[in-house]
Order: sequence, then structure tokens, then C-alpha cells
Amino acid sequence: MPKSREDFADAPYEACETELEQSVAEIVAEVLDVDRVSRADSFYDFAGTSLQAIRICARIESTLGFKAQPLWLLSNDLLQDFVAELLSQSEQTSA
Amino acid sequence: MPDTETEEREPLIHAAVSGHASAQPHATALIHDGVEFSYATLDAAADAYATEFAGRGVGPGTIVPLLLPRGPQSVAVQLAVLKCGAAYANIDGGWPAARQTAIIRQIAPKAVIALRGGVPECEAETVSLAPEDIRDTAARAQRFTPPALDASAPATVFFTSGTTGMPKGVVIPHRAVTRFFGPEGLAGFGPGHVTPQAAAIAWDMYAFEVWGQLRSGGAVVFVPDGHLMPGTLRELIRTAGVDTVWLTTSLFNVFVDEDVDCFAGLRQLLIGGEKLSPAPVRTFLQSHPGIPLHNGYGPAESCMLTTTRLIQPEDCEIGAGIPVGRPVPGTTVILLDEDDRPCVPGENGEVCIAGSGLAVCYLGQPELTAERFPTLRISGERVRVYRTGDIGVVDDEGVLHFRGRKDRQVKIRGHRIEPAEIEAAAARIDGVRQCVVIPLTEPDGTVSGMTLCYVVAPAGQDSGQPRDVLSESEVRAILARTLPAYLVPAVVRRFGRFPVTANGKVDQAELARVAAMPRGRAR
Repeated sequence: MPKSREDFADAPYEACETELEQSVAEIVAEVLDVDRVSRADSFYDFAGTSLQAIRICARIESTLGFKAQPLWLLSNDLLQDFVAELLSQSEQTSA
Repeated sequence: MPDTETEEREPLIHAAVSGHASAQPHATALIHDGVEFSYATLDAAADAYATEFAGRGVGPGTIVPLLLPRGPQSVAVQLAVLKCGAAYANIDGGWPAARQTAIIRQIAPKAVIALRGGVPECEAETVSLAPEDIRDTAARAQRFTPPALDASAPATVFFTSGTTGMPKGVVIPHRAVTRFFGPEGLAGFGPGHVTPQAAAIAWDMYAFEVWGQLRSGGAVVFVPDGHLMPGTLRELIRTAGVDTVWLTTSLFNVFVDEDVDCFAGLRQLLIGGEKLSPAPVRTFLQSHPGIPLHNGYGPAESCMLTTTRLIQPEDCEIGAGIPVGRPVPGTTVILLDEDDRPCVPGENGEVCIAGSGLAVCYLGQPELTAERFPTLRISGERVRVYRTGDIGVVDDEGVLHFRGRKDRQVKIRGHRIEPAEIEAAAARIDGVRQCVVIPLTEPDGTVSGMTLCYVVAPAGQDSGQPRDVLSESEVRAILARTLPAYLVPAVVRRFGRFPVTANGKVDQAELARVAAMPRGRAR
């Protein structure tokens, strides 16, 4: 059984606003073993380790097809910011 | 026992590279951002820098801290320092400034070499370099003649976690690096072979990735963005011809779980640095029966690895774990019992290492050096060994099996971590009265991070300031300013007081249980 998000985060849950946010939130929740992740939650609230960051990024690359670097997650620890970074990096590469 | 003849044959690192520059000048040594740099270019660029550094006091017997990003320029600078007869110590630009300064102070160097603007406060003279394409550096080179040295001279210093709260500098001689990648050494290094460079610059595996190929005539490709990811590996196999890769165990596990096909095209894979889990190893062997998978074991004090093992499918069925293997050339493993007597096969003992891979010393710590590198009388012979603190057992076939630690040291993503170093840093925080560091263990037994548990000093006890407000996030932020990222605890927990055992000691087991619970429930 995954752990409850509310055991880690104090802020109320904010639902994801885009499909990509939703897909990334599901991967983050799976790897961190929590039931759900809000778009305003920080990776660090769940005591995320660098190895978990690597796993999240590897899964994003293999299932969503986006290039993802652990450093982008560690320095954009709020879910919505991380997704924004993924998008901006992918635009830079294709530009 | 170390064979003196073998030792004398070992070249200096820079002499081996110069040898390849003469024999195969146009062969690729380094690849960066799609550009290939030849051995001739690398060697000439190193000559240009060496001429400059020798004039600034860099010479035999000195250690030069380097603050440079990973890339062709830093390799040329490292070679130049070696050509001057000195040793280099890579300082990670990502470490907090306080740690950089503390390490530089420990080295007490004559000169520090850094990219312009990247120098922390220190008393030493600074050689400030502009970022430069090494082809331009090579163009202004004059031939530099290195001083005569033998291969027991120090080449590099690695800093690893120390129990006293200060990192330990492990001083590595040339021969420890070159003997390992010699003709009888590991497969996968030499002309036609390419290894990605992804390890952090200050880590011993950086030297493994870089000098492994450059000592042997192969090539090194720098991984963009730092972290090697399955997608990057796939791309580098295709575009740069990568065929030989080192991965720490936990990274290997992630790669296998998330994208096992990413290894297709490799000719060998080395893994280690932490205990292996059988499940991902089994999956790898089933998916890639044609790629030899080696388990590598060994502390930085015996460079680069001490034992290796070509993993067989049946190794995954051994209950106590996949064996770490047999000693590499020039290295002997001796197991000692509690009275320092050699163990018989099948008997557990402390893993002690002898041979030409041994470090010279711990920098500036003669007592610790004497304690960890004693000369022992074994079967009538005097042998200098490194006492690893690891517990192991050698089977009837001479294969070493790892059994655990004598002390509290743990490995996270291949980094050695002394919980006492984190405790020492936390104890220095004003307002922390008591602290204990506990590993976070995954279901498969690997350690994924550390938990710091602390008790605050009551208001007015130390400086008169009320301290019971010292929050978990404040403590974590303070630690992040003094410790490198891999030593910063993933979880920080404040306690009103620690649970104690019947005889008044901190109850570590209870603390570990509470610390593992989600924060909300533990409160």
C-alpha cells in the first residue's frame, strides 16, 4: 500500500492542470511510494533521494519520451516547476 | 605479495599518455560535445600548461588543488601537474565553499589552479585559467621534459568521508593507477575502446574512467549534463562508440529496472561500489547474455579496484550474495582474524589488502595512516596492508565474498559515508544538543539515504537564545552549506528527547523505527 500524501505535505492538494503534469505526478508518486502528488508539492517534502530522482527521470524518458535530467528535478523541486523545466528544455533541443 | 619486478615496470601516468601520443598521435583520446581530441593534441596541451605551472612552483613533492569543470581542459591540466612531478587533487565545484576551503587548507598548497573567478578564499597563490579549447593550448606548446620520478610518487589525492568530521585525503601513487590498466589488467581498455566519463570529478571512479582509457590508448567521452542516464548511454553507444562502462550498483539497478535495452551494443559492463542485488543482475544476464558483466570491489585506498568477478548466472543463486571475486594483478587479499592471524578458507575475517595498488598515506594524518596501513608479519614475511574494515570470507577456490562492515560506514550510490562525519557537522550547529544518524534502508537491503535525528537544546541553555525553534528544514539547510550533497541527510527529524534503552543509552533500534515512519505519524 502506498503511503498517504498527507503524512508528508501540510498544504492542501492541488490537482494537476495538464496531461503532462498528471503523467509526471503519477511517475513521481509511484517512485516515492505515495498515493498522489499535488502540482505544488516539493520533491523534498517526501524525503526524495538523488537515486529516486534518477529513477523518476529514467522513467519519464522511457515512458513519456521527454529528456529528463535529475538536476532539473533537484533544482525545480515543485512538481509544476519541474514540468515547466521539462517543457522548456525540450523546446530548446528541438529549436 | 607485491612483486618488485612488476612494480618497476609500471609507468608513470603521464609517461603512458605521452607514449600513446608518439605511437598513435592521431588516435582519439577525448571526445567532448561531438569534437574529438587526439593524443598528440592532449599531450601537447599538457606540455604547454606544464611549462606554465613549473614556473609557478608546481614540482615534485607538491599537491595542487584543481577547481575545474570536467572536460578536455581539466584532463590536460591534470596531466600537466603530473608532468611537473606533482600530484593533483580535484576539488568539486559543486561542494559548499566552506568544504572547498577546508580541503585546500588541509592540503596547504603552494598554488591552486582554477578557472577564472572560481577560487574560494585561501592563502595560496592562484593560477587562474581562462576556459580554452585544448587545440589552441596545444598550438602554443613547447616540449616539456618531466623530472625523473618513479611510479611510487604521488599522482592524485581523493577525499573520502572521515569519522572525525573532516574528509580524509587518500594519496594515490602513479603505479596504483597504471598497474591496474596494464596489459594483464581489465579487458575493455585500450585502442578501439571508449568509456563515458560521468563520475564526479573528485571521486576515485573519475580516475578509473579517465586514466583507464588514457593509460591504455583508448578514448574517453564526456557525458553532457553530468548524470549518465539510460537515454544518454544509448546515444553514446551509437554516436561515440562507447563499449566499456562503469556503473555504481544502485545506478545499474535503476537502468535495468527502467530501460534494460539501453545496454545493447556494449562489449563489457563493470558494476560495484555497493553490494549487488541478485534480481537486476539476473534480468541483465537474461537480456544481454553476450555482454560480460563484472562485479568490482575495493576501497579508494587500494586503487582502482581490489577484486573483480565475471558474474555467472549461478552467482545470483548464492544466498549470501554475488561474490566480489579474485584479486586484480599486483594485488593480494589477506583475511585476518581478531588476533591478526590469517584466516583459513571459509572463515570470516577483516579484508586486508596488500600490493602495488596501496595508497601512500592519508594526507597529514600519520597516526591514522599507521593504524590503517600497518606492516604486519604474515607467515614469516613483513607485509604492508590496508585494513579495510570490511568483513569477508575467501572460499576454497580463492574467491572473495563480502559479508559486511566492522563499523558504521555505509555506501550510498557508491559514495562511502561515515555517519559520524554527518553527526559531527550537525553537532556543530548552535542549538543542537544531541544527534544520531541512521541509514534509510530499502527492502532489498541497499541504503538510499540517511536520516538525522536531533534533539534541540532548551531555551537559554547555550547562548541565551531560545533554540527550540530550530526547525528540521533549518538544520538541513545549514548542513547543505557545509557538506557535499551526498552527505546531506535526506530526512531530518526533531525529537523532544531520544528514546533510551534500559541502561540509559540512546535506543538506536527504536529511533530507526520512528524515523522510518512518515513524519505525520511519528509526531
